[in-house]
Amino acid sequence: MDKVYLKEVLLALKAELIRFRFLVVFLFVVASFIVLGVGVVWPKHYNTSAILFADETNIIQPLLKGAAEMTQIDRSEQATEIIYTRAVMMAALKTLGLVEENSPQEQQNQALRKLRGGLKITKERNNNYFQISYQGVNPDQVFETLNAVVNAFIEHTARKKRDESLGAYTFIDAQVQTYKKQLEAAEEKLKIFNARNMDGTESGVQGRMAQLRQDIETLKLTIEETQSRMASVQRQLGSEGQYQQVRGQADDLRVRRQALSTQMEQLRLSYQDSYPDIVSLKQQIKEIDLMLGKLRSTSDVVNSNSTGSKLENPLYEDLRKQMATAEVDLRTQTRRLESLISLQEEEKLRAERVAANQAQLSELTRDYDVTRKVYEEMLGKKETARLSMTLDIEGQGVSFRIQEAAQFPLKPTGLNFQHFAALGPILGFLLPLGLLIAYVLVDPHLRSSRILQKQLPPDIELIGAIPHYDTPLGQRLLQKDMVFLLVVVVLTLAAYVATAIYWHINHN
Amino acid sequence: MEPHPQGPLSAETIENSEQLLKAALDDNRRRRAIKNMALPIMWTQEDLYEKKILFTGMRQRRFLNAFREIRIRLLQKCKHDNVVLLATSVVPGGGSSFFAFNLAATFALDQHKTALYVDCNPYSASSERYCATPVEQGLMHYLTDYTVPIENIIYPSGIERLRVIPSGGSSESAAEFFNSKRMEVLVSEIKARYPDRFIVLDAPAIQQSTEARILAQYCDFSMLVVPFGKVVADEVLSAIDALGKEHFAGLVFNS
Repeated sequence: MDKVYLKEVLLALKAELIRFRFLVVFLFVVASFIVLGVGVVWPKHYNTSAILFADETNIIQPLLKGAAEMTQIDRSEQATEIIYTRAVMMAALKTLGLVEENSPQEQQNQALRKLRGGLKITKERNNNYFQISYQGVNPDQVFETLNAVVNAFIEHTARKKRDESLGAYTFIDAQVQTYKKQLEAAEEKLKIFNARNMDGTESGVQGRMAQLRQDIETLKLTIEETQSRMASVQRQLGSEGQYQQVRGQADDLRVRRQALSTQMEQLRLSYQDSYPDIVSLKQQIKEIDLMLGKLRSTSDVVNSNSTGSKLENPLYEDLRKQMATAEVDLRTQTRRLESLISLQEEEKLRAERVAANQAQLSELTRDYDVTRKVYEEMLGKKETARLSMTLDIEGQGVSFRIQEAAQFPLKPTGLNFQHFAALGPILGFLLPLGLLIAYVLVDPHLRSSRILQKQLPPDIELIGAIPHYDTPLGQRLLQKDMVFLLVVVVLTLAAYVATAIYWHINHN
Repeated sequence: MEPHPQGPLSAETIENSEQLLKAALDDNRRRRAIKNMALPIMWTQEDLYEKKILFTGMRQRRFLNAFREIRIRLLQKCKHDNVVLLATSVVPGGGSSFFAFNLAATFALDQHKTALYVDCNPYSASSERYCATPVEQGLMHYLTDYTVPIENIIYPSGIERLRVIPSGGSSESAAEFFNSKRMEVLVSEIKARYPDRFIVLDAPAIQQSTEARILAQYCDFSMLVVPFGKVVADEVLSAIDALGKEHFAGLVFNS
C-alpha cells in the first residue's frame, strides 16, 4: 500500500463522503438516538456474590487420622455441578416461593431457566474457593435468590454427606452380619468334622509308628539273644553228661581201692608183707591205680573233686533249669513280635486315613480362618463408619463454608444510561464512517487511478487522471450544504444532550 | 460563415521551390484566416466555470495541468499535425463530453492550433451548450440530408480557435449513417480545413451503443474515459477490446 494509493483512497473517501453527505448525517442522527434509546430501555442489572470455601481439612481429621474416613465432597467444580442440579435449584425456587410443589411443569422449567441463566460460578485463587454470583433486575430479588441458592446448596451437601455416611454404615453393618453368619457356619463344620474323626493327627500316627518300629527291632534283638543263650546252655548240658559218666567209674574205682587198702591195713597188723593175701591185695590195688591212671589220662574231671562224696550234679540241674526258662522266654517273645507286627499294619492303615482327612481338615480350617479375618476387619470398619456417621450427623467435618456472605447490591452493575449516552454520538459518528470506508474498500468499482493501473495489463496506458472540476457555484452550493449539515449536527447534539440529561435527572 | 481554405496541403505535393513558395503563401493565408476566424461571443469566466471548461488562469491549476499532460502525451504519439481523436466512455454519464470538449479547448489554447469538437452522440443534446449561437442543424442533418452544406453545421464556441459540430437531434439509425461514405468525406474535409487542426469526436458510451466502435475507424487515436466509482476493471477491459487496440491511445481516469 503505497503513499499514492493511500492518498487516492482518502480522496475517494472524501468524494464519497461528499456524495453521501445527507445520508451520513442522517445516519449519525439516527444511530445516536437509537443508542440513547437503547440506554433508556436497557434494564439495570444488579449483581451480588458470595464466596464459598470447600473445607478439606478440619480440626477432627488429625485427631481421628486413620480411624474415621472423612467424607470428601470435592471442591468448586463439583460444587458447580451440584448447584446447577435440578434438585438444588428447585429447593432454592421453593424457598423463594417462585414455584409450588404442584405448579405446572412449564412454569417450573421457566423459573429454572431464569435462575440458571442469572447464576454464575467462578473459581477463586485456588481450587477450594469459589464465587457464586447472581445477576438480575431487582436488587431485593437478586439478594434473596443468591442467599436461597447458597443455603440450598449447603443444606444439600450436608444432607448428602449424612446420607452417604449412613449408607456406608448400613452397608458395612449388613456385611458384618453376613460374615458373622459365614463364620458361624465354618465353625460348626469344623466342629462336626473334628468330632467325627478321632484318628488323631498325622504327627501322632508317625510317632506311634516309629515307636512300634523301634519296639520290633528291640524285640528281634532280644529273640536273637535268647536263641543264642539256649544254644550255649544246650552245649553245656551235653558236656556235663560225659563228665558225669567218667566221674562215676573213677568214683567206683576209688571206693574199691579204699576198701582194698583198708583190708590190707588190717592184714598188715597181723601179717607180714610177704603174707600172700597182702601180696594179692597189693596187686589188686596196683591194678586199680593203673585203671585210675588210665581214666585220669582221658579226663580231667576225674582227679578234681576226687573227694566227691555225693552222686548228684548241681550244675547240671541248674543248666537244665536255665534251658527251660530260655525256652519259655523265646516263645513269649515270638508271640509278642507277631502282635507288634500286626499293630504296625493297623497303624499304617490309620496313617492313610489320617492323610485323607487332613486335606478336608485344612480346607475347613482355611475357610474358617479367612472368614474370621474378614469378619474382624469388617468389625473394625463398622466402628470407623459409625464414627464417621456420628461426625457428619453432629455437623463436624462440614465441607462447605461461607467465606464471604452475599452483600445487598446497592448500585447496578454493567452498562448504565451514562455509558449509552456517552457512546451514542461516538457510535453515530463511527457507524456511517465505517460503512463508508467498508463501501470504498469492498466495492469493486474503480475509484483510484492507481488501482486502475494495477488491475489492468501493463500494455494498456493510462494517459491521464483528471481531477474533479471545482466550479465556484458548486463550491458555494457545497459550502451551503455543509453549513446546513453542521447546523443539523449541532442541533442534534444539543437535543441529544438535553434529552440525556433530562432522562438522567428524572430516572436516577 | 467561415473563410473557405483552398485544397488540402500535404508534403507530397510540394516538389519544387515554386510550389514551396506557393505552399508557404497558402499556409500564411490560412494562418491569417485562423486569426480572422469569426468569434461572435467570447465566454466570460463565469460562463466557463458554469460550463465546466478550462481556461488559462483558472484557479484549479491541477485540472489545467492534467489536460496539458494529456495533450503532451498525445502530441508525442502523433507524427503529423491534423489529428482525429475519439473520446468515449465506458458507461453512459461517464463524462466523455466534458473530457472531449475540454481536450479540444486544451488544443485551442495554442494560438497556432485550431480544434473542432464533433458531438457524435445522437442520444443527448449536451453539445448545444458548447455552441455560442443557437443551433439549427447538426451532424445528423448533414448525414441524412445531402443538401445541407458543411458550413451550416459548424458553430463557433465561446472560446477562440474552437469550433463545434453539434449532434443535431437523435436518430435511431445513427450507426448506419456513421458508417456511410458521407461521414468519411466529412471527416477528411474538416481535417483538411486548417493546418494544425485537432478534431475530437465525442462518441456515445461503449456500453450504450455500437457507434463508438464504428467511429473508431475514422480516428487516429481513441481514448477511453473511466469514470470515478462507476465501473469495474473487467468492464474497462471489455470496453478496450470493443474499441480495438489498433488506435487505442490510453485510458483517462475521470474523478
